[in-house]
Amino acid sequence: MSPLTPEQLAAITHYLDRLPRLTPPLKEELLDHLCCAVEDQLARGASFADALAQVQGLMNENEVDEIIHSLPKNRSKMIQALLGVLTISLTGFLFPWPAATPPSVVPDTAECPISELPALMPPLVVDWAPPSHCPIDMGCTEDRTSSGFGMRIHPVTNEEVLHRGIDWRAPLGTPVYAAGPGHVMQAGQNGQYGNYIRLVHDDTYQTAYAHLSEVLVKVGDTVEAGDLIGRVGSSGASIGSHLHYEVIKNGSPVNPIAYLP
Amino acid sequence: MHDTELLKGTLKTIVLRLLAEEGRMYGYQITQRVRELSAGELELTEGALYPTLHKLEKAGLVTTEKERVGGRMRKYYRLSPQGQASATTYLAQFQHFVLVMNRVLQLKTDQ
Repeated sequence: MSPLTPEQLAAITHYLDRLPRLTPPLKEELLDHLCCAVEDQLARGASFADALAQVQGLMNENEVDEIIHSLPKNRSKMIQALLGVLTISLTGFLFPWPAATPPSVVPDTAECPISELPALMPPLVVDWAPPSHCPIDMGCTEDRTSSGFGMRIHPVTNEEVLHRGIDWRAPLGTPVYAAGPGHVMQAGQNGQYGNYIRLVHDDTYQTAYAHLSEVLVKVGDTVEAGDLIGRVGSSGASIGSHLHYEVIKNGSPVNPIAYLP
Repeated sequence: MHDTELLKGTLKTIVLRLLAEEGRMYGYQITQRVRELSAGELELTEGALYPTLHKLEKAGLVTTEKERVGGRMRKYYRLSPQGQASATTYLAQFQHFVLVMNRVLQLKTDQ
C-alpha cells in the first residue's frame, strides 16, 4: 500500500481542521485513522476524491462530538458520559472466535467447546452501583475513622499531603472485605502503601486497601461485595495497625465516606 | 439487525483480548482486525472504539506509545500488567456467561 502524498495528507488534515471542537491529541489520533481508511480505499482502486468523501461521511461533526463527549473527563467531579450511540452493525448471527483459549482461568463446566457456542453477545458490564459495602466490621460512619479524606500532615513523613482515602484504626488481623463486586487488579507490595489490594468494579470505580498484614487474593480473582480479601496490618508507611481505604472514581481518589452506608 | 445494547459491554473485552493476542495495535488496526475476525459482520465505529481505548488508558489497563508513520503520528496501545490480568478475567467471564445463557435459553447451535 503506497503512503499518501503530502497533498493528500494536507487535504485530510484540512478537513479535520474545520471541525472546531477537535483538538490535539485526539485530532492527531483521528487523523491517523482517517489516513488509514483513505489508504485502504486507494488500495482498492478508488480515486482520492471518492475516498476522501467516504471518510468525511464516516467522521462528520456529529460523530466527532460523540467521541469528544464520550471521552473520560479529567476532573473527578464530572460524571463520565455514556459511550454514546454505538452504530455497530451486524448482518448475521455467527461470531466465531479463533480456537485459542486464554492461558488461565477457564470455567469448570467445559462440556460445550468454544467453537460450538452460539454467537450471543451479552452485556458484561452491568450498571454497578458505586462500591458501598463497608470494608471493615467496625462501623462505617465518619466518627469511627481515625483519619479522614483530604489535605493533612502525614504521620510518618510530616509533610502536608493529600490523604487519598480514609483510615480505620483496628487490631492486627482484623478482616478486610471487598467494598463491591469486581476483580483484583493489583495484590501485593506497593511501596508506601505496604501490602496493598486494588479492585476494579466497573468502568468508573476502583477501590484500594493498604497497610495490610495479609493479602488473601491474587491478581485476576473475581470477588463479590463482602468477600474477605485481606487483614489489617501496619505494613508500609504506617505508625500503627490500621486500614487505609480509597475509592477511585475515573482515575482520581474521592471521599469514600460519601459511598458508605 | 441486533440490539446494540448486547454489544456495548463487550467492547472492552474485545479490545483487551486483541491486545493480549497481538501485543501492540493502533486504533484503525483494531477496527480492521475485528472486521476480519468477524468476517465483516462487526464494524467498530470511531465513536465506539476511541472512548473505550481512552478509558482503558485512564484506568491503567493499557499504555501508549507514538511513532511517526506516513507523515503523521500514530498512537499504539499495549496492555499493562494489570491489563493482562483484566484481559484474562473478562474473557473468562464472557465464556462463562455465554455457557450459562446457552443452557438457560436452550439455544440450538446449528445456525
